[in-house]
Amino acid sequence: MRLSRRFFLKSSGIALVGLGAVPGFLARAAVATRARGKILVVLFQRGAADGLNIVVPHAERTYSDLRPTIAIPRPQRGNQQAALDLDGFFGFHPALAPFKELYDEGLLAAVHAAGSPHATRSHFDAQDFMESGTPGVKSTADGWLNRYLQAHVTETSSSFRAVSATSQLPRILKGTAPALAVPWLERFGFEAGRRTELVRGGLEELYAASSDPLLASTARETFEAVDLLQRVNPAQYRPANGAQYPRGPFGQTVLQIAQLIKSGIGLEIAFAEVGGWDHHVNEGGAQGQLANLLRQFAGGITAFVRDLGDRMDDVVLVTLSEFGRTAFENGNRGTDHGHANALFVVGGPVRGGKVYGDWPGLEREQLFEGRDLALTTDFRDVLGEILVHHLGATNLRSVFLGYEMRPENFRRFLKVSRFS
Amino acid sequence: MNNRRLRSALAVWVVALLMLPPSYALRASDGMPPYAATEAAVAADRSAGKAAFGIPDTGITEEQKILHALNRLGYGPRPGEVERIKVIGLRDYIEQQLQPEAISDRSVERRLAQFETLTMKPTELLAAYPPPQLLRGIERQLTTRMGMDPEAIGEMFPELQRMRERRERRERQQGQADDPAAQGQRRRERMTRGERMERALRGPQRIVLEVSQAKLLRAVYSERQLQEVMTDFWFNHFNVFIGKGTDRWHITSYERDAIRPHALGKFRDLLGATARHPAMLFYLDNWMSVDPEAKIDRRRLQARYQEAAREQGLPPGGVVVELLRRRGMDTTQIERELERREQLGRRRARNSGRFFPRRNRRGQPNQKQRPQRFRGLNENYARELMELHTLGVEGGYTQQDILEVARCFTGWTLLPLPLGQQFVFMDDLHDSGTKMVLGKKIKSGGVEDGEAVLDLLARHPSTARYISLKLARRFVSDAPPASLVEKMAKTFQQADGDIRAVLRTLFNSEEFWSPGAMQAKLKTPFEFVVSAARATEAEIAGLPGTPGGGPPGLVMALRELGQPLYGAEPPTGYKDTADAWVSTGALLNRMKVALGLATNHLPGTQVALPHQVQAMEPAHQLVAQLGEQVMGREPSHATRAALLKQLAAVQDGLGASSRALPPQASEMRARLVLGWLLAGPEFQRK
Repeated sequence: MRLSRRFFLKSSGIALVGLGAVPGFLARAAVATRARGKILVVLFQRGAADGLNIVVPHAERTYSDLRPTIAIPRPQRGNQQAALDLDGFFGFHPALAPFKELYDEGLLAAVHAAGSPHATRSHFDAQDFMESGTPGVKSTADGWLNRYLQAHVTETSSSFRAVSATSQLPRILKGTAPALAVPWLERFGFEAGRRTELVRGGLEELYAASSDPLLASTARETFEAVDLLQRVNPAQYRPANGAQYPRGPFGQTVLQIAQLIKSGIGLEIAFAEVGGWDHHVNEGGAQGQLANLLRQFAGGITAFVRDLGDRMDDVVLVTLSEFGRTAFENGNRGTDHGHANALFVVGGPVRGGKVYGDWPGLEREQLFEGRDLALTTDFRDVLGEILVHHLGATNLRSVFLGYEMRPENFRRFLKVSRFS
Repeated sequence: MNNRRLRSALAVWVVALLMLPPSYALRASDGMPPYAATEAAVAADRSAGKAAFGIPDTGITEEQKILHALNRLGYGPRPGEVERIKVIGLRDYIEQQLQPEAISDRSVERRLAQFETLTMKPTELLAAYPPPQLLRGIERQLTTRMGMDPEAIGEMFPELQRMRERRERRERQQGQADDPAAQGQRRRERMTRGERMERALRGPQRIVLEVSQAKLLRAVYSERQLQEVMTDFWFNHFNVFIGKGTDRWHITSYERDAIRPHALGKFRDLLGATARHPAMLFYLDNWMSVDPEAKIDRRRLQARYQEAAREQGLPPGGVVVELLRRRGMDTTQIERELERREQLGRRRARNSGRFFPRRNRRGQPNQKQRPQRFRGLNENYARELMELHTLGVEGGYTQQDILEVARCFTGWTLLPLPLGQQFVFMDDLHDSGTKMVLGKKIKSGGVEDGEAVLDLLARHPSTARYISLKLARRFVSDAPPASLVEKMAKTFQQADGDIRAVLRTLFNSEEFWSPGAMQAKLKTPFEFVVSAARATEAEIAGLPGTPGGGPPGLVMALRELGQPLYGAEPPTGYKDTADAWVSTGALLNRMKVALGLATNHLPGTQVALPHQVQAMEPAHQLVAQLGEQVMGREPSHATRAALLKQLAAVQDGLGASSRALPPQASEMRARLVLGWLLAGPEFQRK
């Protein structure tokens, strides 16, 4: 197996481990150095999650009036169907019990009344804006995560620096910086049975002999990535610390991201998505469609946190959804497209145990256009804080085009001494 | 691609390959790199008078020119095509391609004959494959006004029945998500993949599959290659996304009626056709852009919609009555009622959905407030019209121009869904004040305002330059020479936006035929897939469930390759430059698709190897022969050497054996070489 010098530089010590030719202590040191890499995981809840039934403003007078059949009952000792109180005002949906543990341990925070300032209620447009990072501008060609990668090139970029656990590269990662779409780790390879080497050998020869610099170098990275992943051996993965990932696609997705992080393969940005939040009909309250989805969601993320253990010190996970839902329920026991929403920030660097953001209220005159939760935190300020204070980004102007990022707008949900 | 099948198949060849006899050792190559024409060859061409085609002499051979033309005017050579064009002459071939209507295209027409949605109007598609929101509306009407019970409705509309069952199942499962009995039940209810696809294809998914598969088949099999390339180019230029709302029901017509007829015609016609097409009006939201000051009377608006629908030849009751009739309902009562209302001349159908006979007089209270969708001006179309469709982002317009253009297009809207969602201009929604666009006053105050803007933009020098740049980027290189763009822009203006004339300038230019332009473009995934199917003369199956039909493997492969057909979400469309398509994951997927195609493991495609190729020995002949077939020329020295080295290495580890290759193994060896060639670096360029 040939590995280029550049590749050794790119993936620092990790490649050595697999070769088995390096003394163990050296390899461990190399892993430890690389392990200090900071990681951001972005989870997109497609379909517009109902933030008001997820982080419930149970002490808000009008909350239960607005939602006669789907409101989550106020917290009550012994009542499994009631909201899980956080601070006397907000509470988690009862299906978020695992989140309550993370919250109490200080690993999880919520930001309420956050989202995109654009008034569109189209899923298509709103997702587009949240992924391009330019609300209101449709012609932006690339996504903000990709622009972050473009603007912050590192010496040690691995081919697994940015990975999307989806079959197609999502808008958020589209752009000129390399990013991989890897829906199933086990399928990232040639899969020609026992002697795959033969089939790929011909391809490797062809590209090695090519005088086409662009294709030759991309092919080299491809083969290296395939090798790297092969040594990670995704099929043999066992979660640590007794972490129990929920069955189903979402659990599998977060499990694979945990795997990539632990393999020390040079991951910096991971993206995944979970759909099914568009509950116009029979949304349910403490039980029902939303509750079922939240059990998967919270179960998956909590297993991810448990599995990674101390490694979470370097990981921040943030959730996004294109917009919130109407403050009042509709005629079909569901909710329609709204405006601001609640999002979660999870990880060791998070000053958890708190719901951040200014609460705009739910009285009719406080609602956006008389119907939706008003917005008090721009999603770009949440992401900006993470990019700057977690990933060490220096150039936000080129990430969130046309947005004047002001640190005083950061909600300060990260443990950072640099805040003055 | 079915990976398990591919895996087991590859494992089989590996065994076969291990039995290769030793005669396949690497041999010294005697060829020369492609396109490094000898002076002698060029001189021979010249003396034969062939270089003086009207196509400039740029020091490359006739074969190279033909190959270049096949790669750029079309989707790459089929085996033997270079020779065929040599016979008719390259200039005549290009002239023919510029007049596609004169080219007979029966084989592709025969393949498309079974695609029923390709010739249907959007109103027919809405009735035949109704969208869920239309079904739900009808369900409400049938329940409240006709008093039908859910069971009878479910019988007539199995889709609604299924939606209801799904909902009920979800509700039942609440709180018992992990009950093993329920899981077993679900497993039993689970359908096979084929069954699921079959059912999906009875619904709106049929439209998507047919239009996608048809695009692929045309690109692969049509003789009108330039027309296909230009249709693709303009669709992408005036992009709409099949996944946005009801655009799925309009996209077939958009390509067929707005794009294809004008692909080689006048730019102004193309621009006008896209501007009025429901697919564009919906995609860029112009249908809901209204004068914020407009006084909107719901009742009047509905009456106007009805009137407009009638003028467009839609029967009373629109799509809904047609849909009910298709589902076997006797609609005479409804039609009689509609007729009666019309004859009486009374408040004709106030509400687009309210043409069912009333059972009670209560009904819904009239809502007098402004319809929510008409909140005011929407600048989306106006902005993209200038930035992407005409002037280009640096074309010299301001935010104020965007606003004024948006005002000009207020009232360019759509009939409601039950009435077929066709274009209609509504005076009531239009801002009839005077506007200033790019320094010109526009004050006619009707639908002419938008047309005046289109006139202005189509003839603007920035548009001539921007369109010429995009064409040059598509046909020549990612960064085309400015001299070429200038030449084309000049033609564009002189010929009043005649696209054929601009292309003629392009095809007569030195820049197009320059040696540096050869192989300069990287294939997009679509170009890669189509050119591979052409090079291997793959037989692509028709629609699933029809005679000769099969699963749409190549259409699915394009999703994996990151270019789903009609699936570009942003109005910019897909990028046409290498940077968008070269990445590790993308290259790996190309290799997998190439191997899958060559070994007949892409569902719905068959590649047959000529018998003489299968039996061909020695290895260097096989590589040269297949290379010629795939690329229309000898593969480069590097490619041949690499493949021969690998074939030799396979058997070095085996020890000598002089037995002849068994037929099965020799076919597999040929298929492996074919896969390598399609997956290799040379085939990624055009």
